[in-house]
Amino acid sequence: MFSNIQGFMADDFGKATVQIDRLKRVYFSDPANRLSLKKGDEIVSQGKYNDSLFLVLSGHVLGKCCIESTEKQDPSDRCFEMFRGGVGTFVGVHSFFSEPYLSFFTVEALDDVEVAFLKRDSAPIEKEKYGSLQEQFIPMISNELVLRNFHLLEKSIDNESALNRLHRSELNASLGQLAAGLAHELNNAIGVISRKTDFIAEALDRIIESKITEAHDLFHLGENYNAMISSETIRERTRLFEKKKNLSHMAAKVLARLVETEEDLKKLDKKVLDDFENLSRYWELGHDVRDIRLAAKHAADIVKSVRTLGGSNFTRSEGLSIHETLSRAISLLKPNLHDIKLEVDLESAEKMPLIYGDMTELVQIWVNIIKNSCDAMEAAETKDPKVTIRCSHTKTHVFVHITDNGPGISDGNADKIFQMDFTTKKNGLSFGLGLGLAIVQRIVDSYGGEIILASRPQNTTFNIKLPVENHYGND
Amino acid sequence: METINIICVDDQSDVLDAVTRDLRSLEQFYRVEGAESAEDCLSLMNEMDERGESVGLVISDHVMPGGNGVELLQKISSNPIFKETRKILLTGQANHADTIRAVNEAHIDNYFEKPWDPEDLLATTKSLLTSFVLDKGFEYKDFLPILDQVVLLSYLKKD
Repeated sequence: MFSNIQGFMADDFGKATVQIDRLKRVYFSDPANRLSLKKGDEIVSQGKYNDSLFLVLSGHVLGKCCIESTEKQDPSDRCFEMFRGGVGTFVGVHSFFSEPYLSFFTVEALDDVEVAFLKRDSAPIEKEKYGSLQEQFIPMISNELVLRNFHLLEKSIDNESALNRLHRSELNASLGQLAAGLAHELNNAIGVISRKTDFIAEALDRIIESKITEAHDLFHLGENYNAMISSETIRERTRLFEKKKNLSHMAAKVLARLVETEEDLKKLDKKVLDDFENLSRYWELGHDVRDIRLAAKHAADIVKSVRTLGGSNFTRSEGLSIHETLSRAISLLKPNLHDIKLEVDLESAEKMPLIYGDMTELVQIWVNIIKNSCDAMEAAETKDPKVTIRCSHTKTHVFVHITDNGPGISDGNADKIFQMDFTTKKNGLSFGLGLGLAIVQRIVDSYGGEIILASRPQNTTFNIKLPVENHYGND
Repeated sequence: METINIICVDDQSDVLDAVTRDLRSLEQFYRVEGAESAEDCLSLMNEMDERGESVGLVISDHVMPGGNGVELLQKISSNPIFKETRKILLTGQANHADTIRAVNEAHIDNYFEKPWDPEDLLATTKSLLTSFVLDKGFEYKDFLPILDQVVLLSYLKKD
């Protein structure tokens, strides 16, 4: 248990020294001086007189110290764990050696416990060679002291990490509340914008239809415009139409977007072309409606991704298939993959145990990580960009390893990528907000899982570790 | 009469559309063109130069894939052909340090935050182009109806 303390080997502590072995042998071997205790029995009691030193021969013991409450709201005493011990643990060390011989804390049996004891008035054995009882026991006392200190050190390390986790979850919770509040307000505003746009569009539609049929058609064309024409092509055609059709720059620009080829141009009604200077405005009007709708949708999409931060409306349950969550994520991403190759080790995915979780949340995790990889590779113009997904599992945890051959994440950024508001992406929609990986972190945290990042150029892996069962339901 | 171009640069077509539309009232005197990236803008400027036209003003978006607006404006200001070209940065995410850098290094003449005020943009455009026309020594009487009177007056006084 102390294997991580620098400079020491795992078993250096608790390993009884020769001296302590001798003490145990010569002072605690008398079968007459033994006691059997049941679970809950106290060996020594806090504040009570004690004149024996006990050695645990079997079973487990717990030492605890209780402190009187100073708080009025909660007058019950609070007890703190001081140490735990088993075979070889000494009990009553302080009260045995130090006046006024009162126990500093209570030690109780955790199961059936057998102890050997030594009375304070016992005569020292081999006094000439080893000295007084106190002198003989010094190695044991210092050993006990170290062991108990380390027990407390472990407890405080646990406490600190629990505190960090709590802090992070509280931070997330308040950000989540803020996000949810903002999302609600913005959604109302966006709702009004998109509905009112529809109303205006419908009204314009009716008004224009009743006046000029050609204008009506152009209005619709503008409203449903979806072509992806580069601005360079548009400029070329604009110049062409300005000359050929004797149109103004702005009318020619509309025509350039409306028709793809000269063939298309021939298909246009002569009536429309003759009056195009005037009619082009109706196309623009329709196109404005389209832009407002798209912008509202864009805003709504961003709000949706922000809302995930405040989201607690997911229902987790047993029996969730990792394989299925991955399939869904991939089908969501497919349209945006462009030339990025996505390889999934299906065999390993199918072998995964069913876990406790929510489909939407897990799909979010995969989508955000994969999208992040894709964006990074696109931005870096990675050659033969590829994302590989592989799964593995132990009895208690599942692992999903998502690897890309992109530029990698610098050491300086590795700590920051999961922070809210951190992004290296300068363009894009919701994924440039610096929310994607913060959402991932938040979801994984809430499962009691872990994200382990390993990154070097051409090989970056996000290892997502999630518990099979609900370990984290106790908060 | 000189052909003077205004180039608006934005990777988002709806924004580009809106900016060029805001400047439509100038179309009688200037040509308003749209470019969708920094690269597109630079090649368009060369085309215009080859045709013997001038580029009076570039209004560029800040953050764009493939090359940001500050870098673009910087390139333009370091090219002797476009020494007189006026520059406006139209930014969606102004942060102080970036803006200062842009003003200092790219010698931009003005910057606007999104969403911009169309009247402000139009007025600034007019006054920048007035000084462009005069600095270039073009026949200013051709452009008289849309010249900024205050700028014009200060130039005439100097002469």
